[in-house]
Amino acid sequence: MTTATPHRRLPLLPLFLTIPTLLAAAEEPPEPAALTPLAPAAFDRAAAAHLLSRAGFSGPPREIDQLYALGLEKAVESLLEPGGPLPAEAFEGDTLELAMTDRVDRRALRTLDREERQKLMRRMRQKNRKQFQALRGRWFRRMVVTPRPLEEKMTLFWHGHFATSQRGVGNSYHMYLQNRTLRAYALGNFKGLTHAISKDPAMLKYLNNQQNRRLHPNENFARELMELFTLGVGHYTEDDIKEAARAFTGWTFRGKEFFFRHRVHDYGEKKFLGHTGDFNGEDVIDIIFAQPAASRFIARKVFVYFVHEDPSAKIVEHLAEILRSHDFEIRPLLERLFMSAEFYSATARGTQIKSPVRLVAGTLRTLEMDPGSAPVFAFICGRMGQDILLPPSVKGWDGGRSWISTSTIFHRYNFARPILGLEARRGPGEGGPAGRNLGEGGKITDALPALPQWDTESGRELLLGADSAELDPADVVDRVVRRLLLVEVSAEARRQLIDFYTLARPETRLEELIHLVISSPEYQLG
Amino acid sequence: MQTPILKGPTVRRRDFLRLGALGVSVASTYPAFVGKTAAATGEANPLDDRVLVVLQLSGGNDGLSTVVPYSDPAYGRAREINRLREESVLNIDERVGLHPNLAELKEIYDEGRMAIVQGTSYPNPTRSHFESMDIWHAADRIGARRGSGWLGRAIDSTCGNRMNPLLSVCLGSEVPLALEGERSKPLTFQRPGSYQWRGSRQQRDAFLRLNSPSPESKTSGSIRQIDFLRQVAADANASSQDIRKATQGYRPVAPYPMGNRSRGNRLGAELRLVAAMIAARLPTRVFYVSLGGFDTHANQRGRHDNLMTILSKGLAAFLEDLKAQSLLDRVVVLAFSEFGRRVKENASRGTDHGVAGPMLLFGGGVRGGLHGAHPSLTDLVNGDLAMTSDFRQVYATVLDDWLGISSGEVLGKDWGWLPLFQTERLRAF
Repeated sequence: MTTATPHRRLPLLPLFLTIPTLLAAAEEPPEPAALTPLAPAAFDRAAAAHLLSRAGFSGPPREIDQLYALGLEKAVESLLEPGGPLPAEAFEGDTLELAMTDRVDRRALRTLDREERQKLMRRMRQKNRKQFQALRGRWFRRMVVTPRPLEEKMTLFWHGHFATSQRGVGNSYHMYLQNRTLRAYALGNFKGLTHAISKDPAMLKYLNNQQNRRLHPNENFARELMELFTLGVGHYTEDDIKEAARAFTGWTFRGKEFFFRHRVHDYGEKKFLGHTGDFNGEDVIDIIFAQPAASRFIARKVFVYFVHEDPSAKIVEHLAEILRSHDFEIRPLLERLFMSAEFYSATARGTQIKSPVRLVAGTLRTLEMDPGSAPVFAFICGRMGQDILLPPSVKGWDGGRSWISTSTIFHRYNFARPILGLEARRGPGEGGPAGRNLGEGGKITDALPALPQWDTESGRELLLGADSAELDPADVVDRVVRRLLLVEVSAEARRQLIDFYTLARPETRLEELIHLVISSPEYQLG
Repeated sequence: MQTPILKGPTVRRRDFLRLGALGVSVASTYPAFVGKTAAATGEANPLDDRVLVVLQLSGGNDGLSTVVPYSDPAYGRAREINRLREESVLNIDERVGLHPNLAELKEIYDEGRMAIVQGTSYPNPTRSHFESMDIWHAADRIGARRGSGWLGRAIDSTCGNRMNPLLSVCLGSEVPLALEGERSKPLTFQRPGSYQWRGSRQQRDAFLRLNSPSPESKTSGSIRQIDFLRQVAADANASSQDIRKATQGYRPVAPYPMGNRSRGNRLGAELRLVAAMIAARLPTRVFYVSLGGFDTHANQRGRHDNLMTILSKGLAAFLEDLKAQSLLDRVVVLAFSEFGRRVKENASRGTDHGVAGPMLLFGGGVRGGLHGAHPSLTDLVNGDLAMTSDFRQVYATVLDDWLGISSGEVLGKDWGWLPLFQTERLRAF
C-alpha cells in the first residue's frame, strides 16, 4: 500500500491558466474554462447543502449549518480528512466467519457420510445467506450513521466501479473482505486499489480468474480490467487482452487470501500495450497506469459521479492531470473538485437523479432516523434497482436516468410510508418491506425486526421547531420543503401542499405532508 | 363478451372534474402505441394487435420428462428411478409423448395449437443458471454483459423516442433482462395493487399536481431532468390506472387454478392477470411470467410431476379463457428453460444441469406439431443431449413471423427460420 502523497494546495493553478489564455486571446475565442476555484464568499448555505448532498448522503439542517460555518476550504477538508474513531457498532466484520468454500471444511466433509454431509452443506449455505444479508444491512446502516460520509460515498463508488456480485461469488466473507478493501482505499490511491482488487478473492472468483491457467487461459478478468476498470474501450487491442490474461495466469485465492499458483503461471514473454517482457499481473497494471487514458477514464467517471454528466474534454484533462501528478491519489482530485466553481454551478446543482441508496439513506439522515442493521433497506434499494453487493453485472449501475422507470418510481415514492407510520408494520404481501421474495441471496425467513419508528411528537419538534403549534400551514410547508428539497417547487405546487395541510387530519398531516414531498419529481433530484 | 377498445383510462365525470383543474387529462400523457407499419402507412395493421407471452421455466426443466422419448431403450436405461412408463405417457407418436400430467396441454396439442421445438440450445453451452439464463435473455453471449435483451431491443427498434410504458409488462419481482432495451423498460409488478402510488384521498390532489407533466415538455432532444421525471411519473400514474381498471373485476370465461401463492405457485393467478390485460385491449405486446422450481437435483419425480400439473392446468385455463373470448388468435405463448438436464440420473434420485431441451409454443397462428429433431440419447456430448436447433432460430421466427419485427437487427444476424406459424412468412416492411 503506497503512502499518501501530501496534496498541494490550489494557489498556483490560476497562473497556469491565465498565461496561455492571454497569449491565445488575440487569435481565438476563449475556450471553455477548465476547473476554476470557487470564490470563498460564494460558499453560502445553499452551497453547503449541495456539498453535503453530493459528498455525502445529505443530512439534517444542523449538519449543513456546521459545514457552512467552516467555510469552503475547511468544509472540504473536514470531508476529506475526518479524524476521530468510528462508532464500534457500525461494522462488526470481525465476527463473521468464513463460509463453506474453506478448503479445510472440504477435507472434513469427506469424513462424514452422505446424509450428514448434506445437512452440513445446507447449514453452511443458510449461514452464508444470513451473513450476507447481515453484511448488507450493516453497510447500509454505516452509510447513514457514519461521521465519514465521503468515505462511504467513495466506497459505494468503488463498489459500482469494481462491481462484484454475491451472485457470482457465493461467499459472504469474501464479499466482506472486498468491501473492507474498497473502504481502505476509498480516499486513497486508485492504482493501489487496482493492485489490491486484482488479488481480491471475490473479484478473482467473480471474473473466473481461478480458472485462468497457462494451458487454458481465461480472459475475463483481463478484459474487464481494461475495458471497465482502467482504460475504456478503444485503448487496447484484443491481443493486449490475450497477453494480459497470460500475465494473470495462476492468480487465484485460497481461503481468505490471494494465492499464486506458480505451476500454472505463464512465465513467457508478452507483448502488451507496446511493451515487451515476461510480465506478471502487477507489471500489466503498472503499464496500464502509465497510459494517459487511465487517468482520463477514472477522472471522467469521478466527475460524473459527483458533479454532472457532461464534463468538457478540458475539464477531464485537467482532472486527469491532477491524478497523474499525484500518482493516482484520489484526495487531491476530490479536493479540487469540491472547491471548484463548476461543482457549484447551475449545471450541477439539483440536477442529479439520486441513486436509490442516496435517496433512502438521505431520507433517513434528513429525518434523523437510524435504520438499524437489518437488511430491509438494502432490499428496498434493490427494489429500486440498486441491490448493494448484488450489482446486475460487472458493469455496475449506469445511474442517472436509468434509475427512473415506471417500475421504480412508485417504490421511490412509497418506501417512506411505513417509516412514517402511515402504513401497517407488516406490508401487504410483497408490497411492503416485510414481504418475501425480495431480491437475490435468499428470502428473509425470520420475522423482520421493527423498522425505525417515526415518533410524531419528537418528529414534529425536529422538523418544525419548538414553536410548531403556532405555525400556520404556509410556514409548516415552507419548513418541511426547505428541509427536504434541494430544488424549488413551483408556486402552484406549494399552494397545493398548503391546501392539503390546511384540510388534512391533524393526527397524520405532518407525516402525510412529508410523504407528499417525497412523492414528488423534485425530491428525486439532489 | 368484448370490452370496448380503450384509448385511455375511462374517466368518470367526477374524476374529470377533478382532473379538469389541471387542464389536461392524465390519460393523454403517453402516446397511443403506433406500430412501425401503421406509422408508415397511416393505417392500423393487424400485426399491431399481436401479443407474445413469454413463460420462463426457471431452474432447468428436464426436457426428457416433458417430451418423453418413451420408446427409446436408452431412456429406460438412463432413468431407472425417474422413468415415465410408456402406458402413462400421452403419446404424440411412436417415439415421443407428453408427461402424464400435461393432459390439458395434450388436448391443445391434438387441436393443433401447440408446437414443440426439440433439442434447443446454443453452441458452447454453460451449465451455470445465471450465465445460461442471461444468454437466453440476451440471445447472445456478448449481449449478456451489455445489459440488453432480445425483446427489449425488438421493442426499441419499432418505437420512436417516446415509448408507451405499457408495451412490455412483467409479472414478478425481478426485471427480466430479456425485456430491457436502451429505451424500452418493462413495467414490472407482482400484483396490480402494488403498482400504484399509495396515499390517502386527501393527499391525492396535491400528489397529482406535483406529478403532472410540464406543459411545454418536448418529446425529443434533451429534456430537463425535472421534465423527464414528471413524464415518467405521469406515465406511471396513467398506466397504473389502466392496469387496475383492466384487472379489477375481470371475469374470466374459463376457471383458473389459483394455486398456493406462498408455495410459489402463482402461475394461474398471473396468467389470469395477463388475460385481463389482453381482454382490456391494453397496448401491451409482450408479457413475461415465470414458473420456478425446475432445478431438480434431488428427488425429481415428485417435484417435476407437480410442476407439470401446475403448468398444464394454468396454461390451459389461460388458453381456454382467451379462446372463449375470441382472443386466442392474437396471442402466442413461448415457454423455455435455461437448459435441459443430463440424460443419466444422479445419485440423489434427480438429474443435474444439462444442455438441450424443448421449447413450447401455444396459441393462435401456431403451426402445431413436432419441429426439429429429437436429440439422440446415445450420441451424447459430455453426457448431454446434443443441440439440434439453435434457440435463436425460434426467436427469429417469433420476431419476423409473429410480431412483424425484423429479427436481423435485433439478433445481430440472420438465424434462419422454422415453420412455426400457420401464416405465410410475413415481411411487413
